[in-house]
Amino acid sequence: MLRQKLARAVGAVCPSWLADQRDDIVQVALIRVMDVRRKSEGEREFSSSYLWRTAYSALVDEIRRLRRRQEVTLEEETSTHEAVSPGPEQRARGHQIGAGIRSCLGHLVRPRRLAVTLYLQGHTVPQVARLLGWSPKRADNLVYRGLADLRQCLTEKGLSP
Amino acid sequence: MKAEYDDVDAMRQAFAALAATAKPLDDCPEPPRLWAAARGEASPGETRDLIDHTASCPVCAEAWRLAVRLEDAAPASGRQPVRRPAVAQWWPAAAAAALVVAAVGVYQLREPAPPPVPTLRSAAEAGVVSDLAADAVLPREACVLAWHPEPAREGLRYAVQVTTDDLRPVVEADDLAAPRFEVPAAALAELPPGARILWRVEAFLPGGRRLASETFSVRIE
Repeated sequence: MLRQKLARAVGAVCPSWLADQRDDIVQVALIRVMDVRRKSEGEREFSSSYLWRTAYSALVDEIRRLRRRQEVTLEEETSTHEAVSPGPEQRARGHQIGAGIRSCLGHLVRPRRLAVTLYLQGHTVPQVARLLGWSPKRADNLVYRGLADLRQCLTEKGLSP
Repeated sequence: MKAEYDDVDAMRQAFAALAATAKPLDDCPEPPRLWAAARGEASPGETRDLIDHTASCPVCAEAWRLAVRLEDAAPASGRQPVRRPAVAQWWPAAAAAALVVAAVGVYQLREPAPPPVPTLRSAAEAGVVSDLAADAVLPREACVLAWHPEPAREGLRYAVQVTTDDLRPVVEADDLAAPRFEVPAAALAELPPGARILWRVEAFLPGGRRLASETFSVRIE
């Protein structure tokens, strides 16, 4: 039962380029849960939230391990993500823009950087407001101004998304 | 929304793609911290610190996205975001450091030396210095916080965070061109006479570097 829940959690978000490691990640998560149960002498009950968090931690640890060793190449990753992989030129340009974005974010005033980073991560303005404890109006304003700053910075670097 | 967002998808893809060739940094947060923040279960201060990290660490940015996706996929029973009080993460550490400062202050009562500006963060991180004496008493209607970069620099922008002594947010300001900030009297309205407020400055250099000040304190008349 525990293993099923952990497998479900890992399977829900495990990137396709990590598919080969999926069972190993579930196993690591299961060992961590069993270790906690053993230390509690079998008394401990685990909520779904706890199990999903444990599965998430095991997944992120594995991603970091592989990234640290650079065991996954960009070609491998994009080939499993997309039906039609971008060519080398497109990839290089995308990487340039990504690096430019990361550099430009570091130049933004902190509130704008926070707002834009979350927005680039796929969050909506209401979510940005909720996560940062801001009013929707403030979040909207900071996303707007931050994106303007980001575009200007990218332009100065000769980059255009 | 009031902006043109046609290019946002391209920027999001480019930002996400960075993870494929990035390596984790030395100071990457433990996954449960990212998990909690991405689900809205961390304090805004903790969340801000972690978002700052993801802005410069593509691997943790990827981990953040996974946490969001997992939240979307999680069973309803596991999705109970809890919003704790809006206390920035650095304040508890600052408060602990304040106790040390207080102890040092007691020791220094024996020495005829001028009182130092309270150091609530590591002095090694200081690049912004307060122009106000330690626990200076400022009028409520003209509570002007002032500082200067050290060494002197031109073209800086500043952000200021102000809280009460017990770490409740009072006011924040950002994108300040001048090294001073007047705390609105309205923001101080609920504080009793003599109340202590803590303030901290972040300076943004033209080249993109950031300097965080120590945490300073003043009292309200």
